[in-house]
Amino acid sequence: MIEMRGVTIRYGDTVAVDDVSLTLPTDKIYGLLGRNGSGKTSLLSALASYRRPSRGTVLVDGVEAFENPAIMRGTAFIRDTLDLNDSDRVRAALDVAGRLRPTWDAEYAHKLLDIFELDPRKRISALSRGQRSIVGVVLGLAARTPLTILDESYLGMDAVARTLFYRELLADYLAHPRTIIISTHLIEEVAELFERVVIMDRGRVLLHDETDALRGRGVTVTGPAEQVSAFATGHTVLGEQTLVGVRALTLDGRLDPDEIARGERAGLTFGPLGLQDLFVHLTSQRLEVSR
Amino acid sequence: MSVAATLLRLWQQMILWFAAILLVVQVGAVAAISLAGPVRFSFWLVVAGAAAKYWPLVAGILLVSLHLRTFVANGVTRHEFLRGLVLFAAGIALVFPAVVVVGHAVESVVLGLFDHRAASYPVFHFGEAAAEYLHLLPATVGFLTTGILISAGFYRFRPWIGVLLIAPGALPGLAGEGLIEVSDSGELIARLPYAIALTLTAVAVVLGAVATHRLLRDVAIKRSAT
Repeated sequence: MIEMRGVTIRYGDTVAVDDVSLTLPTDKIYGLLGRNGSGKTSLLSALASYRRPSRGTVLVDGVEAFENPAIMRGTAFIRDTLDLNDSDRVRAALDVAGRLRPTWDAEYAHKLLDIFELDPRKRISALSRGQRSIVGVVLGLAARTPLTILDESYLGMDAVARTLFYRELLADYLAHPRTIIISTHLIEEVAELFERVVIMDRGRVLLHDETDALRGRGVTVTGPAEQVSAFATGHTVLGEQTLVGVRALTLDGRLDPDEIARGERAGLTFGPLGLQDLFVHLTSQRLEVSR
Repeated sequence: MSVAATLLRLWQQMILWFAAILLVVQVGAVAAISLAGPVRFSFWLVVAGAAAKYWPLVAGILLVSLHLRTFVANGVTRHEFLRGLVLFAAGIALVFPAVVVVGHAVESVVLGLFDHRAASYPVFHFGEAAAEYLHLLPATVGFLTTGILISAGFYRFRPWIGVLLIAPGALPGLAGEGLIEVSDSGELIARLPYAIALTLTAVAVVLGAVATHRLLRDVAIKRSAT
């Protein structure tokens, strides 16, 4: 069990993480969502012992995590910027990981390099943004640590590389279950991987729940624009998309079966709530005000 | 594998290249000087003696700025890194002065064999090897400590605070060099009685080590080298 108790992180007068208490059961894939500057990376830094919280503690299985050798050895935190020196070659970075990490799987690391078609002889400075992210993904997955944190590790990756990444992550997680936390802005693209979702806003945790439970918090109604609008009357609309007479509305709350049956008879289709719609709704009050 | 062993592995190539360059320069320069007549000074003491101060200074700076972040990113605690750093630094500090002494011995013997030592050349005496080593050691340890401490200051604080901390950070190096040294002519110098000079240097080094520990024991791991 990973616990954060009253974690606050300040940078001078700025409060990046504000009194966050969070309990994360292990061996699950978490999605950490939040707008830019919402405190995601600061929270993850505290979780990975990269930064001591200004206040509060992080516990792993009841033991304080900061500077704890066993817990730090079991944690891999891959930041979008990569904690490598530009002059290093990829193979040297993997070699250091192999020397320092007891759980490192060198064979798997090289398999991943092959899958992503990345030359290990290249220097970090010679890699494109997407290739640097691939190195991060390789370091994160092949570390096989009980806690793996991937902070926007997809940056710069093309669609093929991202798909390979999601596929490998899921396959390796199923073969070697562990706690994986993924911080991302590509919500819908990764949403299928998440078992639980944490949404942060302005340094606080807005919501933490099972993904399926979140999806059940609302419905997406799709159909002819006029029928959809008529059906939505009286419901809170979380999101809206219209294309050539077809409208898709995301509605807050559960619908009763009779209501759904009535909608289907009118030619409407119903689907689960999109995580992105929920996220936008929860974190976009300023956006709403500006409309 | 331990932090010190991993650092040695990472630095192995750099150390070998540095040693090779030093050797090539030494052999080339001494051969060229010999062509003009007997050699009047120890080129090795000039070049390797200076390197024994300034290379550890640079190494100290790089050890923190290059490696703290990458080691912590690989699951090493700051304290484990610092312990490994001390071991690796101790290795540098103990070996480098020994290399200078051995190099001086080799240069002196080779020039003697070819009768290319001028009267002013600081002839190496095996009985003085320990004294020479102990006059080189404090500066090496001092400059290494200074490099690590200054780098830790820049790593922990904003650049302008790091600049302000250069002055106190330089104390171990200045103490090591200022109080005890081997001159270019091979003269062993202690500006205070040796035991006092060594004690003062040791105090500066210990204070520097304590300050480094306080700066890095809970430092936030930055995204960049400094």
